[in-house]
Amino acid sequence: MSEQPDKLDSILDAALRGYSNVEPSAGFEQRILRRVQTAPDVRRSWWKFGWGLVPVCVAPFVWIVMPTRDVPLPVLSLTPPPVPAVAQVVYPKTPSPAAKPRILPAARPLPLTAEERALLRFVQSQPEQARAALVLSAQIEPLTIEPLKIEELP
Amino acid sequence: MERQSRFVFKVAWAVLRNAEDAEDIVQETFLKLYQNNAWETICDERAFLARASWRLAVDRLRKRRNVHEQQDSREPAPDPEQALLAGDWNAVVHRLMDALPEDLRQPLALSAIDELSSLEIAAVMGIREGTVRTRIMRARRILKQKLAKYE
Repeated sequence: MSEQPDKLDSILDAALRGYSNVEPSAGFEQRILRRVQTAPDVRRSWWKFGWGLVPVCVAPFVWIVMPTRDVPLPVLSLTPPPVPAVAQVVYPKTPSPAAKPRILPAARPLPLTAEERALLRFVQSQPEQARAALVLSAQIEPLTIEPLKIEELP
Repeated sequence: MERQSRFVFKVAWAVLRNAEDAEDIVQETFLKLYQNNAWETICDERAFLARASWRLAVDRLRKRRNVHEQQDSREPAPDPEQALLAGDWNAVVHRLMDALPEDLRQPLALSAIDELSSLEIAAVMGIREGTVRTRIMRARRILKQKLAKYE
């Protein structure tokens, strides 16, 4: 009875030695070494990517933190800029149909002058004489000026 | 690298049972070692390599099973009965080991690598040393029970 387990153990151990005796094919080390050397360096490529990200991360921070500088205003020149000599074309003004007449605001009454006040008092106090003066001024004929006659020089 | 690559290969092969996949794992393990500059800081180079290669191999095994549920890329072991007729007990044991659950098969396979103690296997698999011993004993018991049928 104890013989069989010993035999089975020895069979088992002999088979398990196969796990320890397993060997890679010839040139294994060289193959691995070559593959490791030619493999792309993931870490370096990650850092390249990381360096590219640095300005992207820093830019908003700088934009927030940096104080706003006084930007010099452009100097206004009082002289108008030179206008190129181009023949000015004047187009006849045609009222556009859509344009509406502009309504001006009511004019504020100006205070009367001393002459106007005197004239007003005269009309109110002596209306007949004022009317007669108005008719008289309408009847006055306009002045006629005779044309000048310039004699020829001898 | 030349010193440790065969050891890493054995660890990967114990999990994957495929030489080509095991070579890929060796490459990935050394790439990981160099790219992280881990070789400057690690105390136990062998333990680090064993754990890193085991993790990578287990990941690959899991992906392989998820993608090709029906396909098994492990190097095929002969049918136990045919192997028995040929008197190849090693093939019979390998076939029976493939049928074990992974949590039992892996500690047993790693224990077969003579450089790894149960304490190191525990560190590699991230389990307690007592658990490793228990699993190895269970795996051996199951295998012996099955082998007894062929006797």
